[in-house]
Amino acid sequence: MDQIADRSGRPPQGIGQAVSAAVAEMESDGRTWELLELEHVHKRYSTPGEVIHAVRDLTLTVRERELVALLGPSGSGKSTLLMLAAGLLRADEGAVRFEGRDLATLGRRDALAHRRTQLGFVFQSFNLTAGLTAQENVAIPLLMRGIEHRQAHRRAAQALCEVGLAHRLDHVPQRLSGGECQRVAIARALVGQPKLILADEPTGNLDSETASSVLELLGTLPARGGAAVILVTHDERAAARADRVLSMRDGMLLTQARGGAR
Amino acid sequence: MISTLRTLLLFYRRHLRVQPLRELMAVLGVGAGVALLFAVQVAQSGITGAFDQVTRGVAGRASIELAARGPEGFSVRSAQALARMHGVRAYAPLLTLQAQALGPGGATGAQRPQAITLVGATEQVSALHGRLSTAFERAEQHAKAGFLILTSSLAQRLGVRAGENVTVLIDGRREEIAIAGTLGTRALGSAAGAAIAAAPLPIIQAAAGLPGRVSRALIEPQRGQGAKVRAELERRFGARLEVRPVSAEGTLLARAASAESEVSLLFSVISLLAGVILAYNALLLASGQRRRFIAYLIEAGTPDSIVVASLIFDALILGLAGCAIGLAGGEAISVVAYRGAPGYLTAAFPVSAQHIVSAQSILIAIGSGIAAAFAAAVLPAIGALRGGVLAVPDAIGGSLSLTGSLRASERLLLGGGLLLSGGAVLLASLAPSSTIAALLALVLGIMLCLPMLARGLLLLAGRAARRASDAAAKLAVAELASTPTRPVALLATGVIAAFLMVVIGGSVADVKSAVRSGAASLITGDSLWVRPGGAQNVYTTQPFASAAVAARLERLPLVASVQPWRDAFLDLERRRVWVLGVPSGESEQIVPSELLEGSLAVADARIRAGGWAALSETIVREEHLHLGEAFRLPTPTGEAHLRLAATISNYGWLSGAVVMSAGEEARLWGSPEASELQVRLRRGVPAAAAKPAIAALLRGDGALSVQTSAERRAEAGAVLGGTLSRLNDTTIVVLITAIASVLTLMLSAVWQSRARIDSLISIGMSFTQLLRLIFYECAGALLTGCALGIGVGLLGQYLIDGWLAQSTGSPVRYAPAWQLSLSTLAIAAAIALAGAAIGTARAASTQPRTAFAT
Amino acid sequence: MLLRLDQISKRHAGPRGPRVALEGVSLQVDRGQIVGIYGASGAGKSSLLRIAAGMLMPDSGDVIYDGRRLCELPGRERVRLRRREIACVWERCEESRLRVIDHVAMPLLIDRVEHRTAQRRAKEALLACEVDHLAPVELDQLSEGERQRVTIARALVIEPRLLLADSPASRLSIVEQEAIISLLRALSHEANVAVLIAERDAQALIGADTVLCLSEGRLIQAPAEREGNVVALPLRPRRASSRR
Repeated sequence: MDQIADRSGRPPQGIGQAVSAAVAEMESDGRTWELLELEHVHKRYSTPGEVIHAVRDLTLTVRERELVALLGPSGSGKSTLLMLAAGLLRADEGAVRFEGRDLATLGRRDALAHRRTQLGFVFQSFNLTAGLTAQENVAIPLLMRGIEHRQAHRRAAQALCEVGLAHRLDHVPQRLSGGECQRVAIARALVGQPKLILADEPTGNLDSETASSVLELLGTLPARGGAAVILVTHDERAAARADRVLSMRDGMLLTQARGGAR
Repeated sequence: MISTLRTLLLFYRRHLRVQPLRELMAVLGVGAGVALLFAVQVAQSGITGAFDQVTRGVAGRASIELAARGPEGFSVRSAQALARMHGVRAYAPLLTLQAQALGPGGATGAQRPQAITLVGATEQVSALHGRLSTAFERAEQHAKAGFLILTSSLAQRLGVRAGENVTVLIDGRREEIAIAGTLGTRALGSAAGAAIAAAPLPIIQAAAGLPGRVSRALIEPQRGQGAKVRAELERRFGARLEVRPVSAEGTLLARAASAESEVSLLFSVISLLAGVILAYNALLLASGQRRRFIAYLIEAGTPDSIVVASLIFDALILGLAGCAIGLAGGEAISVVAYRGAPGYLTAAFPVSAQHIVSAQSILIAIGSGIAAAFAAAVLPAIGALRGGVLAVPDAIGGSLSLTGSLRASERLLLGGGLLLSGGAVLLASLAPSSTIAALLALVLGIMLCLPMLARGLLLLAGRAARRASDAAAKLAVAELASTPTRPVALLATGVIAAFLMVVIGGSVADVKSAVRSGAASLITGDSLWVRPGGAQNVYTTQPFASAAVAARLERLPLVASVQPWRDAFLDLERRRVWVLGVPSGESEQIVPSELLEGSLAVADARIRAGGWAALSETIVREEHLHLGEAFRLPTPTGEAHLRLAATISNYGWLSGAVVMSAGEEARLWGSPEASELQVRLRRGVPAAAAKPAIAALLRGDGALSVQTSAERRAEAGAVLGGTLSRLNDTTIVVLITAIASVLTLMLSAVWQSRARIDSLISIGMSFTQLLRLIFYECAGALLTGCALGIGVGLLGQYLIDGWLAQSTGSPVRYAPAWQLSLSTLAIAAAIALAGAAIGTARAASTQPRTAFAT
Repeated sequence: MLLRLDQISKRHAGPRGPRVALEGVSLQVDRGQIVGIYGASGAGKSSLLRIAAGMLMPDSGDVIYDGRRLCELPGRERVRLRRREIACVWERCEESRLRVIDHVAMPLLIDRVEHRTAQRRAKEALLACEVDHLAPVELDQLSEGERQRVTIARALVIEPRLLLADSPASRLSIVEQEAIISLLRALSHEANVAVLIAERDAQALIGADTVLCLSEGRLIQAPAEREGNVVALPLRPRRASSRR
């Protein structure tokens, strides 16, 4: 169904989807639903000699179109949390639900499809493919879904325009600055119209000013594409742009606070 | 010094800990090349070395020998005349002949006859102080009973001990001889593995039915008298006997084995090259890390001497470890794959292969291994050194550009490669004798062209991928373009492995079929064949009391006629040739398919008339003869003057053949005895049905075998087809190492780009897409390399066939090894798929942590 | 003055033609002093440090170390200086599979110091950096902060006179950054080492005696306004116009 919808480029037209769309319309007076729920989640790793509690008894919800900043020092469990949210890791205890559906019940194929269609990723090291142009890099997730080459490239160009890189479509990553690379990565995360974007230390490799502009761009994503964003970082300036700010240490959520966005 | 060595060792331990698999693969690559080189050398020296060892062990200080030209030998009185000759310090007459032996199990038919060399000698042989002859003499003196002294390995194979009897089958007769004792390695060294049995001369003369005859006399001249003695021997005996150095027969053996030696040499050098490439592949994968490490050392102020010493140390460790593994592996290969001497040699020479590991073969193997390690390590090391201080050593390679116009160095590389390859093909075509060197140059030239070929392929692939809707294809091409040395490494591996498989497999098959057809073309019709001995006597050169046997056979109602064949080996100056005496009852004196020059009818008539013979092309070329020209042939009755009736192939004997009429041969050899009887049956009587009756009639003779034409052909095919076939077995080693190398390259590639792969898995790339990605990345280059290797291999097969045809005189016909090529390609595709599947499964089964910040 | 850079200029070949890495940069560092330079990616910080270490030759200008012009010294002598007097701490630490003690002892082993002596001095350096308990551990098992301390220990093991550090604290949290700078300050003052640090953000240089801004290859010196240990920085570094 996802593929059919994507290939046509039009919104889903089945009856079930029409009902959902109507319900969403009724609710669009500002209330938002729980998109992601983590409930009393534990995750442990065993190493020779000790057991590491990467995440302990963590409960967290993320709403649609919400920007959540997750701060904490290295080793606090932020990346593990992100991977749990993406369904890349299974929790040892507790549940991780996306739109009400327990990710642990997804088979391998469904989990892949879920990541392909519902999620977008922004990595610290950008993870762009060196030999492909910016447009080709952004088109990759669409090609992976089976979208035809020309349409995929058209949508990629659109996504790059949205992040201000219309003039860099045919540049390979080696010829882009760090900030531009990360914008390409953001465009790649956006191009599939995901519901949730997971950004893992997106400014870790950038200098101060570039980091600022990237954070600014990330801050506009919920309004732009309608995606929620979980932003994992140790950069405290992220707080100014987030709806909610969470702190993590030693696998536990310490504080929740309103961010500067509200 | 010690401190520096400890530091270098610390550096190397660091490499091992960082990339143990790659270091291991580099060592295995070098080890494989060294193993094959060593195994082939040991195998070769196992034949020629064993023969020389036995010769020296018997001859001792003797440097000249008188040798009979025919199986009847010469009178022992001639040998005794040597005692009175001026300048002769010592001499010893010997009777040496090939026979078969059976232990107690032979009586019940439970045991097969073993081929043995019987040596009869007198006590005079001790005066020559040969180790073997002295040992045998001493054993004989101390024996309480019996006559025959056996080597321990022969006794073991026969299942006999001192005091028991052994049955000897000589020239169609059975003789029982009591065993006096056995000698092992303590007395004989490695010659204890030879199948030799010695007894006093009269015993062997009686057993052979050659009273008063010897086959050779060994002579030790007084100091400074060698030339004079030789001249005197020539004058007195040169007309009927061979006067030659003691080592002459060994030279003839080396000549007979030369085709196999030269092809083995080519094979082993290319195997070493394969080892270099495989080691280079592994080191290439490690070069990024090495480069980073060297940049670190340079930045930390390491003196150049230590940086260079570190690189040399690494190469040395690689070389020594590779040599250690290679020597052990080579030893195993030589024991398993090169057991025994090839049948076509044992049929003509009293040779049995022994396992001789000489210091020379070890040193050559070690030297080659160290050189291979340095060759494999140089290029990545140069890259690392050139990387220097400012380099940001992110990815492997980077020395090969895939965009823009060619750099001067790249043009030079391509030009050099094309020149070398083209020149090699031209050289081989114009001068077939240089084929071996030319093939090596061809392979090297192809290797030089590979970087540019990779570049071209990637450009093409890039164009195709640009319009593709397959994410895996786009990503694969982009990845290969950014690490261009990986496709080059895969190309090289594919080329060298496929080349070796096709060129060796194809040439071996062609030679086999040429040799088989040559021998089998003689065995026609539905006849029965009677001769002494077993498979060892495949060339039927052992005469026997054929007249009486023929008379008995002719009395059988189902026998139409019995034709005597008279075949013998004859030593010319540089080769041991096979002389065929064709019976007059044969419709054609020369097999039509073996005729190379001359008229069949005219040659046939001339040979029947007498005074004419046909010679192999190799002999004709060497002696610069033309049709109708006169030539001299040294025979047991003296020098024969004959004319050249036709030029023929070598009838399956690689050193050359001479065809004359049986009557002519009987006259020149001074003996009426045939070496084989062809029993033609009456019309309507199938040979298979008549065989039991014939065998029953001859059973009293015991040592004669009866075979149908089909059985003879099969036997000849099996024995003679062994030429070069041993090389086939050892290509397995190359194949296995190439497979391991490819799998390592593929899995390392996956491991190294795991951050990239993890991020793709994170964003939802499916298992099949990932599998396609990894498969495209590796299969494209590997399969292209294989295809290129197959093409070059088919060309190489053609060139080697031409060379073999010329050097051996066999009508080696080129039959392109298509089936082998296809199966090689299929194996390569299967390996690529397996590697991709393993890599994908591994990547997909682990959590994609590396995509995320820790 | 131990190190003085006079009007250093350097150009690098880039994909779009030569680009200016440094232009007319002058600074000086004395023993017991910490000088910090901050600037965006591509501002020229790494090139500056490599020139100061004698690994890279400037196109123009002088590097004067202990009264001697580095470019006039033979290559061997510059290498010797890097081995014995000038220690470098780079951002990336690649040697993941060595034990900490071997990693820290490496510069001494390269200098042909006897192994036992090298190990002993390595332990002392680790102790000075408060990570002596990590000696038998492999590098890839350390946290970022621990790894940086070990890297500093490796630099100090040769008892240098000059320490050049390129983004030693860039991947660390603020708390850890402060700890690293404190460590460097303590070592600089106690061991009388001249320290020149380059970082992306000025915030990471709190604690330095002098802080300079490098922007597009040019040095901009901040006026010495201090509030305690914090230097007020009137200028934010502009992003370098050249590409990555």
